[in-house]
Amino acid sequence: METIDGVAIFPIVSLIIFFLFFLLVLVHVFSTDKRNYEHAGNLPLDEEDKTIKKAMP
Amino acid sequence: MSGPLERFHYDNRIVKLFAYATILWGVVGMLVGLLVAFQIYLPALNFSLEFTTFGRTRPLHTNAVIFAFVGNGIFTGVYYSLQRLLKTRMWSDKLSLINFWGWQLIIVAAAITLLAGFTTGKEYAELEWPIDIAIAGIWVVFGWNMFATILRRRERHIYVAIWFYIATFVTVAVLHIVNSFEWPVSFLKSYSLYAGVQDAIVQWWYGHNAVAFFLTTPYLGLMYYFVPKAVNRPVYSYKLSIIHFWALIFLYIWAGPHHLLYSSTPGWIQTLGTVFSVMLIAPSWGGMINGLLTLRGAWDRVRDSAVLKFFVVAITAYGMSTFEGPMLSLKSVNAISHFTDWTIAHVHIGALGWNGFLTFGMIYWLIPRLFNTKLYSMKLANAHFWIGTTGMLFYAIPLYWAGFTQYLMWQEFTAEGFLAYPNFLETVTQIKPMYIMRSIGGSMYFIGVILFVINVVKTVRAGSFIANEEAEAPALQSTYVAGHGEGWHRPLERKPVQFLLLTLIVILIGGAVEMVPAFLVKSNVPTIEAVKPYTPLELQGRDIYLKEGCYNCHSQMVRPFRHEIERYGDYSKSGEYVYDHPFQWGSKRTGPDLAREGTAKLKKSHSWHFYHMLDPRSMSPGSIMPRYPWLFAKDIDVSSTPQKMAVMAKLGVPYTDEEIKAGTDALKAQAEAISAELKAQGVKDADAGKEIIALIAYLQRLGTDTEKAGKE
Repeated sequence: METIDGVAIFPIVSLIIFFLFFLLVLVHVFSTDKRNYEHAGNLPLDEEDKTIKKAMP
Repeated sequence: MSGPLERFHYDNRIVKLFAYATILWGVVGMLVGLLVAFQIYLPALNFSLEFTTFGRTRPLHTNAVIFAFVGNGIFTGVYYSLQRLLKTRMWSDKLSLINFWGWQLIIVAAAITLLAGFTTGKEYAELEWPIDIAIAGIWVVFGWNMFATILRRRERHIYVAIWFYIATFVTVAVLHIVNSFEWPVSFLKSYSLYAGVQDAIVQWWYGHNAVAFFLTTPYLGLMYYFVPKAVNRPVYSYKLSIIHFWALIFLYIWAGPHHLLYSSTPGWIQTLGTVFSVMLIAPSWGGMINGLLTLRGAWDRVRDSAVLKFFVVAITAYGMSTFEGPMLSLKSVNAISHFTDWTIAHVHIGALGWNGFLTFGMIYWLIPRLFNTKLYSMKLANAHFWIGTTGMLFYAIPLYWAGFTQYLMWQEFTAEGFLAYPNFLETVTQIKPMYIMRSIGGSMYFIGVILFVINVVKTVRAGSFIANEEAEAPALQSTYVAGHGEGWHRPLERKPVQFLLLTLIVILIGGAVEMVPAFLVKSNVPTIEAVKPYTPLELQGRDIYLKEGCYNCHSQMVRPFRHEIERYGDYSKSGEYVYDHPFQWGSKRTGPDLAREGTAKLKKSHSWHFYHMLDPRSMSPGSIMPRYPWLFAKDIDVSSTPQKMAVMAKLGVPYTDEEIKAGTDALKAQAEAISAELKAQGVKDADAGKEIIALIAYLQRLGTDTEKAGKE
C-alpha cells in the first residue's frame, strides 16, 4: 500500500462483516427454542446435586 | 445416555493459594496507590529517593493492581469455577502450581525492576523483555492447563463463563506478544520495535484491550458463574449472553484509538475508535443487565447478604464506567477529559467498583466454602461494603471536579485574547484540595480492605480446609446425538477448539484493520525533513526520562486547540516522532506538556533545568514535582552508547556506522559544552559526567527540529 486513498474500504468491510455476523447470532438466538438453553443456564447450579459436599452448612 | 458414575476430587488448594495471593497483592497494590495519592500533593513523600519517587511508584501501583491483584483474582475464580462447570479436576496439578508460582515470581520481579527503574516506558506494559517472555510462558501454561481440562471434561456443554475465559486467554496472548516486540539492548533494557505514531497505535490497542480482556472479559466470566451461585438461580438470559459475548469481543478490540483523539494519529483511525467505542455501550450494558437481572425476584436477599451487595455495586460500577467510556470517546468530551483527572476517576470506578468489589464478593463467598465454615462476621463484611462504597465516592467525585476545573482553566482566555492562566502551575494548585479529598476516599476504601483481611483471617482460622473436595459425575460418552432445532451456536458450545479459533478470528479482524494500513501506508506518517535523530547524549537523556517515568505526569503531544497552541506552540505532527522508540505522548498532564520544551517560546536556561531538577520548588514555588537529587550523583552510562545507537539503527534510525563509532566522543563533547554553559550561568559544580547533563540535553532538544524548519 502506497497511499491512504481508499482506506475507508477496510473499516467498511469489517463493519459489514461484524453486522452480518451479529445478524447471524441474532437470528440464531431468536429462532432457537429457549428450552435448548435450560440445561446450559443451570450449569453453575446443578453441580450442587452431583457433588458430595463434606457437611456444608 | 450418561455413562457410569465417576468419583473425583476438585483441587481447592490452588484456589486457596490464588485467593491468598489476590488478597496479599490487593493490599500491596492499594497501599502503593495510597502512597501515590499522597505523593501527588505532598512531594516530600517521594523521600528524594529514586526508588520511591512517583515516576516509579505510579507504574508499580497500576501494575500491581491490574496484574497482581486482578490477575490473581482471575486465576482464583477460573480455577474454582472451571473445575465445577466441567465436572473434573484441573488437568494437571503441576501446571496449576507452575501457573501460581510463576505468576507470583513475575510479580516480585516486576516490583523490583519497576522500582529500580527498569522500564520500557510504555504505560501498562512497562516490564522489560525477560519478564515479558516469562509472562508469555506462564500465560501459555495457564491456557494449556485450561484447555486440557476442557478437553477431558465430564460436562459436554461449555458454559458461557468459560467462553469468556477462552476469549481472555487467546486475546491477552495476542495483545501481549504484539505489543512487546522490542529489541534488547542489554539484559534489562530494550527499545520498542515501533516508533512514534505506530508505537502509539499498537500501545493503545494493547492498553485499551488490557482493560477489555484482562479487567473485563475474565471478570464477566466470574460474574456469570458467581452471581448465579450467590443468588442460587440461573443467569437472567442465556440467549442474551450469546449476543453479548460475541458483540463485546468483536467491538472491544477496535476501541483503542479513543486514547489518541486529537493526537497526530491518522484521523480515520481516531474515527474508528470513536465509532466502535460508542457501539460498545450495547454489549456492555447487555452484560450488566444480564448480571443485575439475575437477581430478579431475589432483591430482598441483597439486604441480608454482603456478597450480593458487593456484586450489585460491582455490576453497577461496570455499567457506569461502560457508559462513561463511550462518552469519553466522543471527541468533544475527550477534549475535556483527556490529560486530566477525569480519566483517573473513570478508571477507578472500574478498578475499585467493578474489579475490587467483584473480587471481594467472590472471596467472601468462596472462603467459607473452601474452609467448610461460616463467614466470621457478616457485620464486618457489611461495614467493609459501606466504607468501601463511600470511599469510592470520596475518591471519584473530587477527581471529576478536578478534571473539569483544570480543563476550564487551561482553555480560559482573557478578553484581550491571552491565556487566563498562562502558568500551568496555577491550574495544579487550584485542584490540590481535590487531591487531598481523593486521598481521603482512597484511605477509606483501604480501611475497608483491612476489615476484609481480618474477616478472611478469622474465617480461615475457624474453619478446616477441604483441600480435595469430593464429587461425582457420569463420564462423558463419546457418542452424542444433537438436539432438534438447536441451530449452529449450540454445537459450537460443545467444541472448545473451534470456539477458540472463531474467537481468535473475531478479535484479529479489528486489530488487523486498524494496524495494517497504519503500518503499510507511507503517507500515514509524513516525514519531516528537519527531524533528525537524537544525538548520543540526548539519547541517553531520553533513557533517563523513560527510567524516571516522566511520562506519568508529562505529555509530549500538543493537540490542535487554540489554548494548547497558545500555551505550548504549534500542534504536534506525526512526522516529529519517527525516531521515538518508544513514543512518549503520555496520557496525563499533572505537569505541563513537554513536546516543545526546547523551543524559543518555552525555553529555559540550562541552569533553570539544573536547579529545577534538584529542587522544583526553588524555580517554581508551590510545584508538586518530586526532587531528583540522584541525577546529580549518578554517572551517565557512557559505555552503553554505541550499543544503544546500534540497536536504534537496526530499528530504522539513520545513524551511520561512523556516527555510532564516534558516539561516545560526541556524547562527551556535547556534555562538556552543556556543563561549560552551566558554569557560565553560575552553576559552579556542574559535572559533565552526570545524568542531569544528559537529561538537560534531551529536554532542550524537544521540539527544536520543527522550530528550525519553520524558520528556514
